[in-house]
Amino acid sequence: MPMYTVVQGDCLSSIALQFGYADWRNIYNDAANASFRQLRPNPNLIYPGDEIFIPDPEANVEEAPTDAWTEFKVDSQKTLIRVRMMDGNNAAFAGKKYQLDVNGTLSEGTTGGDGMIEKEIPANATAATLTVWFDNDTTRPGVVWNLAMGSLDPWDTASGVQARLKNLGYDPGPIDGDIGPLTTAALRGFQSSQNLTVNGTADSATKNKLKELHDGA
Amino acid sequence: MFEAFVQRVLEGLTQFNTIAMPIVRIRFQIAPGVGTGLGIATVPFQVFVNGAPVHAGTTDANGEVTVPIPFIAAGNCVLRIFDTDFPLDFTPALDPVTAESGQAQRLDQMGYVTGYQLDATIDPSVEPTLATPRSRQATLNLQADTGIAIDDDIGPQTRTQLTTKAGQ
Repeated sequence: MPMYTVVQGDCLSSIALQFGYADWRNIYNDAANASFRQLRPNPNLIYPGDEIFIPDPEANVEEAPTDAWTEFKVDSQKTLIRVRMMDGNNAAFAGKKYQLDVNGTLSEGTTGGDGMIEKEIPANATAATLTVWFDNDTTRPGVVWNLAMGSLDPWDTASGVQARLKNLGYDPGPIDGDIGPLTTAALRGFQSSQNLTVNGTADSATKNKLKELHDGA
Repeated sequence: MFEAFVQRVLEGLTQFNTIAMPIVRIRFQIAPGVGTGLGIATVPFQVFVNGAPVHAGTTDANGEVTVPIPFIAAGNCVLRIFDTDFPLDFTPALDPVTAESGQAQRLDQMGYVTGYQLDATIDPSVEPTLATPRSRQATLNLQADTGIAIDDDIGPQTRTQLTTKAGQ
């Protein structure tokens, strides 16, 4: 099996699906990917251009009697979308009605006490539309977000910082990895609201705070 | 329509994504030059989108109201307070305070330009810039009100007053 080069929109479960694996861990935990695990300790966050070794699928030999039915179960990893809705003061939007549209498949629900939305999605879905009704009146138009799934770069990259600023309501301009005047202004706004040193640069304190607020872990 | 970039989460891991809804804060205060810009507290207000009420509250102790930006972006958004409808058009930020346009925007927002109109023949629909007598006079009035040097020049002290009073 060749090395695979990650492209924008990939995640480990979409790569696993592409190469016929039910579980992404069979690829991630392969001995040949030791240095990759060191580079990307968070399997949720891989980066376009990363190279991953795709091991040959191992044959799994099971013995079964020939005179009876035997059921084989394949454990498959679910892929989830998990989004927490907050207001600009970091208070959760709890108990708000929402609708998630993934490639035309609609699912509805109510945000949890911490503002959380969690739904299972196809591993290779790259876009979804999320509608939230902040007044819970679904007869009126809700607020709509286009979710680019699998497009969030790691928190310690410039484009990952920009995307997290944008999600948290500080518009950094285009998500292009280029820290220009708009991104600097967004960084200053974020730093000021979080009582960090306001210097307009993505220093380690700022990146850690962005990661903590945006990703939780 | 808003954009967000999210990671897919593999089952068993705890990561999530956060989407925060941006808000704008609008402060109502007694006209500049009277007192020290006292906030007008506990006044009821309502927000309407396309004629439908979506949000209500009262101004806080500083005279501030908070309006979530998605309401403003959702359609024709109006803030009703003091029995008056204020249409809300969302522009992300004022121009920099070092630019003439940004200085004029802040003076105008604080009521200096319209509040101290010198010459009734000047077209009020013209964007105020510091090249006009109205905005020069507005600058002088701001400097007088805030007790800094009155010199018709927007230096660092005046810019500090502009950003502090306009909130950005």
